[in-house]
Amino acid sequence: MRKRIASILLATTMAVTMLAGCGTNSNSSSDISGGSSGSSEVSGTETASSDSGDSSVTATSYGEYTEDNPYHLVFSYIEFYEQDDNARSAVQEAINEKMIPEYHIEVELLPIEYAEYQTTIQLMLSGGDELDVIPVYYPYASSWISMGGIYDMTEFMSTDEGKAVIDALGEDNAYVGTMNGILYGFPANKESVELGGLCMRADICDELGITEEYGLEANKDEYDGTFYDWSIAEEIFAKVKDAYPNMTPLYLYNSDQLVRFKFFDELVDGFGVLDWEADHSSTTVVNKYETDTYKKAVTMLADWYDKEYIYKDAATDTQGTATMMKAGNTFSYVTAIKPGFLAEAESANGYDCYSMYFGDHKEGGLSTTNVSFFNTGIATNSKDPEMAFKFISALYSDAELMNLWQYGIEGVNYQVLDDGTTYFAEGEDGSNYKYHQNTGWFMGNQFISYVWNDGSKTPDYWSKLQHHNDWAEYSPAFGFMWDSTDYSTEITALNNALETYRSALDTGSIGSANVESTLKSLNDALYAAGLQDVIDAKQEQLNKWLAEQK
Amino acid sequence: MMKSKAKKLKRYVPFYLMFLPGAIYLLINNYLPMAGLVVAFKQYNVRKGIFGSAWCGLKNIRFLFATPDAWVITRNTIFYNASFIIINTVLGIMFAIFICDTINKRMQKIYQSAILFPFLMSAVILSYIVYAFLSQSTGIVNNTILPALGLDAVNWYSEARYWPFLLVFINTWKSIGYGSLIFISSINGIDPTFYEAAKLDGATKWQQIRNIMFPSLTPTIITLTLMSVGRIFYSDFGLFYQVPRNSGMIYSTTNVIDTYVYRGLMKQSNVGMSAAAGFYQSVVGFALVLLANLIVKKFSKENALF
Amino acid sequence: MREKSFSKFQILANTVMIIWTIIVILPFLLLSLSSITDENTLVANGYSFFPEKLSPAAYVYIIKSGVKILKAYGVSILITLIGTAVNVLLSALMAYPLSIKRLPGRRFLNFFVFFTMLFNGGIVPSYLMWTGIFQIKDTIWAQLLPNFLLSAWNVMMIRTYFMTSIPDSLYEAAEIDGASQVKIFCNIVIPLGRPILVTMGTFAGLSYWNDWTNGLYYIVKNKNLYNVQNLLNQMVNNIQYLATSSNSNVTSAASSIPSTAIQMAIAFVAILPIMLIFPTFQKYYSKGLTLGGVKG
Repeated sequence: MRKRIASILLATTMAVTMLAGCGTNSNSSSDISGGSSGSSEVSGTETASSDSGDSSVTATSYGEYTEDNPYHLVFSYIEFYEQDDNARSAVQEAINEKMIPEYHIEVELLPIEYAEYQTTIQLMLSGGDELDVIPVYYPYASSWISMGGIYDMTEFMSTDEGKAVIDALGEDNAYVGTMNGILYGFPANKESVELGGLCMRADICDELGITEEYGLEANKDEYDGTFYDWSIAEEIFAKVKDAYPNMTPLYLYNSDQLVRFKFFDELVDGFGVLDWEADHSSTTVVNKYETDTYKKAVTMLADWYDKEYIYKDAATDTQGTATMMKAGNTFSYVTAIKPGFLAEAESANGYDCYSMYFGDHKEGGLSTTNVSFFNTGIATNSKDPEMAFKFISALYSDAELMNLWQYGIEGVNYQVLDDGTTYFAEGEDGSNYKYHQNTGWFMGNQFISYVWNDGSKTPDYWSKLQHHNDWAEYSPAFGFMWDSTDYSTEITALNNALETYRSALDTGSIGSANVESTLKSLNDALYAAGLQDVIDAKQEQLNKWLAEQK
Repeated sequence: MMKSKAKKLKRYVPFYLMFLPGAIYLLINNYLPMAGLVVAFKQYNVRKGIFGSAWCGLKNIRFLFATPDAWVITRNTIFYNASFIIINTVLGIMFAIFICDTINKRMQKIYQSAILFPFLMSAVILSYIVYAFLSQSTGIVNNTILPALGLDAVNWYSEARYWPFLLVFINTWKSIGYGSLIFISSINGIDPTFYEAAKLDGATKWQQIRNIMFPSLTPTIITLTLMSVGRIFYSDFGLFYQVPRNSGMIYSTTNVIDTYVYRGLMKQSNVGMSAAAGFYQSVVGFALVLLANLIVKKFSKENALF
Repeated sequence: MREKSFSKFQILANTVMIIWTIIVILPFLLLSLSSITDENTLVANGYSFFPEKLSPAAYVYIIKSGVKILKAYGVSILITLIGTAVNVLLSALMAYPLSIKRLPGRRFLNFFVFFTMLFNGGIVPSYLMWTGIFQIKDTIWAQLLPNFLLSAWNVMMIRTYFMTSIPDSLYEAAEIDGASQVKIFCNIVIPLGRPILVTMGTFAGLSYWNDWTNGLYYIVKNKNLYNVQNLLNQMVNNIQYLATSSNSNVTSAASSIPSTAIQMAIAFVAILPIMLIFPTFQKYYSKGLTLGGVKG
């Protein structure tokens, strides 16, 4: 036993020394014990740029790697729903058949479950495990950067690979995952504007004359500038309640709320925001929960709750819209609508649906975190961040790679239809597929991959999504990422204070009579938790950032 | 003289050898990672490692005391744990005695299963079951029981005052089996000749319980209580987070230190702060248990933990 | 007179226990009924003891995972058996010396064990150690070694039992007879301690059976080593994602998955083996060798 431990220790030490010794490509180290054996270049985020000075990277530089000796790269991503292990291995093989000759990279797919993502990545970062490309969910960015887990990619941006990413995302979006000058990740190319509206049961709309009155049509979900005031929604709910007293006109649940679409630039965490609705160009950080915009929204919701338009258990419910709609006693729910939305919603809900855009907005506001939701970044564990960056760049520019990763192998996992869209291979569908990630919306550039045809999508779907983004007006703070590292104490207290009232306010469950008093209690609690300090710090960071932009 | 002491010690060598395998495991599994506690006082950096990271003093722990909530969560944590200790002990002993005194062996088996099975239910499922009873729109209590009694429906998940009773009841339901089974084994360990002697003396059932069972249960009760005191700042996270369905309106009676830490940190990913919170909980528990152990020592040296 | 008060007590005892048993069984009944209730009925009408419409869809979905679930059961059973056996053995070995009142250094040893209950270094240092030094990541050892192989809590309970239920006179008699400590341990301590060993063994087994954390932390790539809890958690997460997301093309398939009923079914599947085994196992609780037996 002792001998075995000794030999393992020896092996570990040797590995560490070797890595520290070999210099050129050891921006990270496998220094698990956390001792000081790593060299000074260990801390990736701090010394990254000084480190790469010698490597004048060009598109054809593969470092020491060749086709026969490719770089082994671990690509971690979230696997949102189950895939067949064997099918995934086959896809990995197919990816490598392409990646090894073309990029000298041997990819190892590392799917992580949604619920385990934070724990797993954090432990792997701490443990120095083999890990190159990781998804960075924006709320974790600040702490993962401050704990030295994420590699700053700025140094690569002038290379051809960097330019390929900028080409795919545009200059603004490519740099949106930047905090304090550290480029920690690239956003996925997706529809980013959240235009809020209602998804309603078509049969009931038809029956009650709602369809006629507002000219609703099947499969009409593209935004054309038409939107309705929420008072119209109230009229609709009243009709439904009259006709079907036992039906819930509006389903809300504990997380996905109407107030989300009242336009604020949340500035990452919502503690101190820009009041978009009041003034599009303001750069003054204000307390969201004291604004008229917020108050108006929660007052309306409380009124609806009193009138029994809103699901009674909304404040504590977590069943989700599809479950409730399927059960047949729910008329509508609030959601972000985008092209292609209805087809997805109908298949999930089991009913034909209409959509209507609501909210007093001319354009949707585009804030930093609307775009940089999940970001693709490099872990400091990476033995060769340069190669990792090549791979990331390929995710944004190599359609074949994106198709393989998202849809699997052509002819095995999917087929290309006559119109150029794709669907499951013969004999497979959503219930018996073996491999189908369809995760382009959260990592990489899906706009270069095939359009997946779920029955309603046309080959020009990606351009429709891009057009949807055109309705957006950028927030004046777009690109600004608030660094809360020094305020973790306050943020913790603020989260607790907010959670005390949030779900009750956001679902109207407090009732009209209590709106004033609840808002007051909330604001008192927030200020007691240090909101003013956070707002001041945010304002200061924002001002500094704005000055740098000029 | 020396020789006899050495000889005496030698007699104990087999004991130390028996202790050794477990001790090795505790050293590896528990003591070695304990070095990582220093992370509570550090600005953790994964590449510098736990020991290489910069010190940051008490910064990580400040968040626990930053707001008036500190009082509420401390009060709730202590209140619930104290109630749990008392109720689980009293009811646990009662159930154990009841079960041991059933003549019918089949009934005994059924009771034993009944007290143990809730222990198997995960917090998430427990929260669904509780919700099935208490939900406003579909709950059995609001839809069936209260109307039958002619009472108005209650919005359970927004009325804080019901939750101390609900949580204590739910906890009893779930974990009474743990203590009971231990007490049952203690009762089974009592030498039956004691009872026979007592019966010959004409002792009543109550006298038997008081004079035979209680004294032999006392060490178990003391051990259990002392150990629970050590964990008094910790709580069953699932019970306090999942079961009240994270409903904000009832935080005043459901928020405990563990849920506070979780809610504060779930949108961040901060190793140092969660370590600091754990460290604080442990230190308080440690202090209290030292005190409690001293008190126990005063009254019965035998039963002290160490 | 005496007999009468005796039976009165038993009536009281049985009444209380029967009421408690009903209080316990009702929620379990609700759980099992919900798992076979039609999903839409469940959502629309809520949980009920008298469901309008039944459906086996939840179990059909679970069975569809086929070999995976059998494998996971295999891992769970294997780990629980080995883990429990080692746990009980180590605990008993450790508790016995701690129960010897005259053992030099006993207070320190007690403290050494107890201290591990108060402080722990958290998951990051444990992860670094288990994966770095012991290399257990993605091996079967990951399900067995961390955290559950020995619990200080159990050791202390067993120690207390040994102290109170095994009289010192017995050891002395054995030592006079020239019995070695190993022999005393095997022939006196283990048989007399059986009630507590079985009880604490049950809890050790349950903590192995119910554990999902080791799988979460240490099984990342080789999902074949998932135990039942890990696999069922994975299923629940998948279903929840599909039920709340409109972001996927698989939702059409998901719409036929009974997401609420399935969670109940999954809970039921996870605890069923224990509910079946426990009653047959119970005879070992009470029938420890009695003191008289040893003496005779």
